[in-house]
Amino acid sequence: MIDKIRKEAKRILEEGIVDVVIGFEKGSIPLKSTPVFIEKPEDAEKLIWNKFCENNLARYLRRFKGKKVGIVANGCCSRAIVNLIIEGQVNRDDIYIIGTPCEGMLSRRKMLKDGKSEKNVDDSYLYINCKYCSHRNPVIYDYLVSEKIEEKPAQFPDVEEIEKLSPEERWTKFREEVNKCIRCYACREACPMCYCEVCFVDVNNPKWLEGGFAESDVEFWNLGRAFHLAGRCVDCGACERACPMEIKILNLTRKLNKDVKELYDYEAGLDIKQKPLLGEFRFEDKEEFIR
Amino acid sequence: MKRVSKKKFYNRLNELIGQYSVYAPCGDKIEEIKDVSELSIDGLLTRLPSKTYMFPQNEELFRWDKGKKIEVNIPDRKSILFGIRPCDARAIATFDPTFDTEEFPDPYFQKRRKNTIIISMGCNEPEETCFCTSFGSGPFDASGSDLLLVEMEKDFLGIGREEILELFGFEEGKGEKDFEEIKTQAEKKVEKINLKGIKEKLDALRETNFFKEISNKCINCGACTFLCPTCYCFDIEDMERVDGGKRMRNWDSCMFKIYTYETSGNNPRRQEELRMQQRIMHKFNYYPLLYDMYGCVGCGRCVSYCPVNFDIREIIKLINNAN
Repeated sequence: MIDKIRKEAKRILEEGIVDVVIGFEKGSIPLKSTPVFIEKPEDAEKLIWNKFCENNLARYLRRFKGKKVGIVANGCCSRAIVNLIIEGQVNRDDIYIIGTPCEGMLSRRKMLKDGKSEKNVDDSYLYINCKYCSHRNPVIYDYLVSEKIEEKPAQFPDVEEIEKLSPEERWTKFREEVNKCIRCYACREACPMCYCEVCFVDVNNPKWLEGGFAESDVEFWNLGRAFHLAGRCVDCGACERACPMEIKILNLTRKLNKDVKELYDYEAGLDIKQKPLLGEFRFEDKEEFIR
Repeated sequence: MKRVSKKKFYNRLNELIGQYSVYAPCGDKIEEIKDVSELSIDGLLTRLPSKTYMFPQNEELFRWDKGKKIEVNIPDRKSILFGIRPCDARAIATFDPTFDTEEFPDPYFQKRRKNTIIISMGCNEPEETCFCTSFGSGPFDASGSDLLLVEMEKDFLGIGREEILELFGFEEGKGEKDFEEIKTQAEKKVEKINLKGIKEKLDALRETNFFKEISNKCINCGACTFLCPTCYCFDIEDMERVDGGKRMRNWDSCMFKIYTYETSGNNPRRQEELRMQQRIMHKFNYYPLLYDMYGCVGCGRCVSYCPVNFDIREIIKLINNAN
């Protein structure tokens, strides 16, 4: 698989199909792969693919506007690319997708806590969204590095657990989680769909929220960000993996994804002809008011 | 060497809790403790750095009510900051040239600084991300601490100010040899990065494409700056209510786009690479230039917690190789 990624990256650079290839290389700390930007064909040798490629590389695409970009993309990364195309942020013609079927990424933090290494780790260390992933194959690609793997239906047992709680219990849980927030905005910056030129937290006229740590502000930030991803989140988990305080952000986004699936039978970023969920009305929609 | 049994030390610390406010690592952060049993120093470093104590993330500077200014009472209690690591202790000293000056004194910082006894704990087992030795420091560097403890099986060895040693009942005892052994072993585990001439090297890179070339990976979040024990940038914000309000000082980050956003709409650091460049330059060029010290102590938090593994140690190596 790695050989094929390298060969294809080298080829498209050599033939001038792309100016740069975004992929992963070995990280500087254990159990971590790190984004890399290859511009010279001979550097394609640096590319790797393993269970620690946990960032969503689609996050970087908007930085290369006007350039032809190759990108190594698994299921969730490809869905983010589709969404960026739908939302008019990137052009399909400017992107060359090296598709990588993906069996999920491993939680580095959980492994470190339990003293696990690559050799003695098992699937229970997969990130929660990888464990229940329903789009393990790239949904869009120009080249596929291996045979497609079996897809499983979308599952949300983690969300269902929380749904069982009373509203008070859920509120307490939510507050406990988000009050760890230091507002570094790593979640926002790691997210491929958080690309607003000016984020609502940075707007100071009107001032939606203050800069401090009043509980209401921290809660509003976390809820506000999640809501802005309704019908757009591709469940890549980049936000939660980026959070230095280990806030369980996916509790919010996966709940939204579940609702969107159940209420509108919609999943974000599957087809470039798809319309954005909030930009479309269908007669099957549950709301009466617009009919 | 000065020595005291751990039991005696902790008993004494507990006794002192009445006279002093004692702050210590409790899990991820540093908090005030009412009894030593609340301590938890399992890992090496608290996730949040020592600055959360000396320079809180949000601090009220004053308030007003119906047009009348009301000063806040800056806590003036004697305090002990216990159990932080030597790098975090030294980090506090890097704040002094900014906040503890005659020209622009910062009473909020100064009062806490003056009232606080810093007791740090040497690192018998440094982590893979530590690089404190690069700064001529090390896992048992006592500079920056009033007292540095060296953990032995049953005792603490103490290095520091005479009156603090006395306060905790340290007595003359053996231990030089053991200490040398522990220290040598620990230092071996820490990566030493060459920082020779880094200021000049950065001067030479300022107008080149260097930062643009290395900046692609950085996503410009504030995780590194907020977990950094030496980053002190802040923003002043008025929290206005109908009749009154408070003026707050909140941490800010040079990584954020709005950090340099001007009223006119101009942003001198609009491009991502300029913001990343600022962070590197501040730590390894402006700090040495202005204060003859580095704005980094090598704690490695930014290395551990960076979402994309933008490793400052690797950046220093790239700077070295670029010249």
